[in-house]
Amino acid sequence: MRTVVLPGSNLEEFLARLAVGHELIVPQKSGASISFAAYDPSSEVVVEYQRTLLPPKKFFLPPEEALFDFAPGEGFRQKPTSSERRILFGLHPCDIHGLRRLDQVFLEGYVDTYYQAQRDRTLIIGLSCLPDEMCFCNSMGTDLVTDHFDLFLTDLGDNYLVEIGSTEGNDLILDNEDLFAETSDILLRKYKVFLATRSNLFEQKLDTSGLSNILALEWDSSHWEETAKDCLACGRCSMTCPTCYCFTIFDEVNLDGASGSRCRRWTSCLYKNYALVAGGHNFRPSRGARLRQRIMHKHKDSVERHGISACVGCGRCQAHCAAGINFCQVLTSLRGESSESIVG
Amino acid sequence: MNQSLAKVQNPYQPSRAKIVDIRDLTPDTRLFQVMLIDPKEREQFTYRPGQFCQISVMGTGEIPISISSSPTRPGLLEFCIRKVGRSTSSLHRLVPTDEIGIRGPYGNGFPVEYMQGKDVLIIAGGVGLAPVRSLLYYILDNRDQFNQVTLLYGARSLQDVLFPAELQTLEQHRDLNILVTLDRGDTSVWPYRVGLVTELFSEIEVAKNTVAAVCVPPVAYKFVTKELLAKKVAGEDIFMSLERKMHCGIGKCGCCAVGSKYCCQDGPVFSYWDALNLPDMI
Ligand SMILES: Cc1cc2nc3c(=O)[nH]c(=O)nc-3n(C[C@H](O)[C@H](O)[C@H](O)COP(=O)(O)OP(=O)(O)OC[C@H]3O[C@@H](n4cnc5c(N)ncnc54)[C@H](O)[C@@H]3O)c2cc1C
Ligand code: FES
Repeated sequence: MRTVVLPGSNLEEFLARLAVGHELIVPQKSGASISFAAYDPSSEVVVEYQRTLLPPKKFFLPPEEALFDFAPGEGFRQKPTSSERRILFGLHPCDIHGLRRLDQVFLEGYVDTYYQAQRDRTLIIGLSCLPDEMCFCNSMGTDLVTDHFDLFLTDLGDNYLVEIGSTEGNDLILDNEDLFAETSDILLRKYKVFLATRSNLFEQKLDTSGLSNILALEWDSSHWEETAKDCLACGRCSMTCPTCYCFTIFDEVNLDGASGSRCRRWTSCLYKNYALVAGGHNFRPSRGARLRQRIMHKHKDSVERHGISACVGCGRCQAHCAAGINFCQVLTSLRGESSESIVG
Repeated sequence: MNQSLAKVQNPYQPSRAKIVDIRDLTPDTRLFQVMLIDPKEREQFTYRPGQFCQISVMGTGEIPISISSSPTRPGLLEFCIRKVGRSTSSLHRLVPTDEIGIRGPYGNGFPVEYMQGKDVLIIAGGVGLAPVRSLLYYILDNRDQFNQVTLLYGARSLQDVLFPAELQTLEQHRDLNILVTLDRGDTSVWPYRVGLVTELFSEIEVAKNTVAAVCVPPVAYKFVTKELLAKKVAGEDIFMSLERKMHCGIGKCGCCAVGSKYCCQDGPVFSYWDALNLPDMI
């Protein structure tokens, strides 16, 4: 992969230039948390942060979005999608892996044209990070990225090592050549030191070996209902998850009572009515069954369906759980239970 | 950046369709005959028995409904719709010439090719007759491709029997075996049987090479499959059309997930073997 160097002191100027001709989204302070928001010259770009409250999926699958306008006699008219060029700056490897997972869902099989339009107009500039006590991306194998970005910046002190992932990314460098320098051997060595140092910083660990097999065997475990006693079924883990994509479709009617829009909105498999069908049959009536569904989907079903776990180890679910559920702990104790039952 | 090469069609776009006729089947169920308005779309619309469509009523939403007509009888599409909630009620308020939206067909449908040369045992309960009616007519129109064909159908009461006239006519077909039972009622009037659909198994012989197609209420699958297994039908020859909450119908919204499968795409027809593999399927 072609690499260049961006002196740290040039980052501000680089972003300011990117904002010309692009809609630029950067991590910024928002109350007590960090969130991806539109850049303006006065915005304070946060380059050192652990995780934003909402993952970048909100730019590709908005929390709520209108798909069509409808009116009697006119049918359903597709809402126009923006084609303005957009740059998302500051995505961590876990979030880039999250987008990869969403791509598998939305671009394979039937192509979700709304998601595709957002994806097509967006460049991704990744940014390295250091873990806090909730991060476990290195357990999930998502602490590094080799594709699905246009540029990736690794913070090596005074300089960023910039990996170039696409021709569009390369164009951004060429257009701003004066801000970049050639890579040096010293920087490459620093990069390796950075990787080694970072991998020692992870406190949260998850043993993923055979995890999907173990989960399949622990379907009937009492652990699910036990853990679910704490769960509030609020769906916060889903909303903040970079790979949770479930949505419902519904119609919103205008004041005339006839025209309106067809919309979609995020939902969560933890919600009580998620698997409720007409006639009153609920396929997952208990909270334990719903919690199990969420965990199974991440660590087992996705592996079976897409060959890869849907968990990217960003730690949002456990950092934001209102009941303080630590998903790594839940999985670790399930593993414990299975090894005990084999021994005993 | 993820530059896609070709612009693809919006898969959520409903096609405009006109209601041609509506027939009352039971107090809560109506048969809608529907025609796609665009002649080209009409021509291109092909489907398999057991597939479904997403049906839209503007302003109320979109719901999955099985195609109840058979692809062997092209022309109008038929949907048999039971009024149970918001969207189905607004469908019931429509009249002929009203417009609805349709997209599909979706799902896998019944494996009709696999059923060829075998006995076909169809088991339906309630509105579950809708998708298997498509299969039934498909078989009738290709009768020589199939062996013995039997339909076991259970309804709540006499007035809940869908297509009673059709069933009575078909019952007289010598090459079709049709048994209907009611949850409650009077045994002196047709169909002369009271009891659950599972009780009909005592009246039939099941040959070795039988393939079963089942569409019953969610709670009934366990009981029906038990009977079938007892009659030595192989697990992989039991095909069940399952219901789940569906919003997109195309494997995107996640709502219909059963383990690693999506009911809307990998189903709605699953084999009993799938059910053994995926613990919350039936
Ligand atoms: C593959 C498939 C085929 C079906 N075929 C038929 C058929 O041929 N005839 C028939 O009468 N019914 C059929 N159903 C059931 C039918 O889809 C539901 O009865 C209908 O969705 C209820 O909608 P409602 O708005 O009237 O009910 P409400 O209870 O008011 O439901 C509100 C919303 O919940 C959702 N919802 C509720 N129940 C279901 C459900 N079972 N499946 C999916 N979404 C649901 C819908 O989005 C609906 O808009 C089928 C279901 C599936 C999954
Ligand atoms: S209905 Fe949306 S994934 Fe199946």
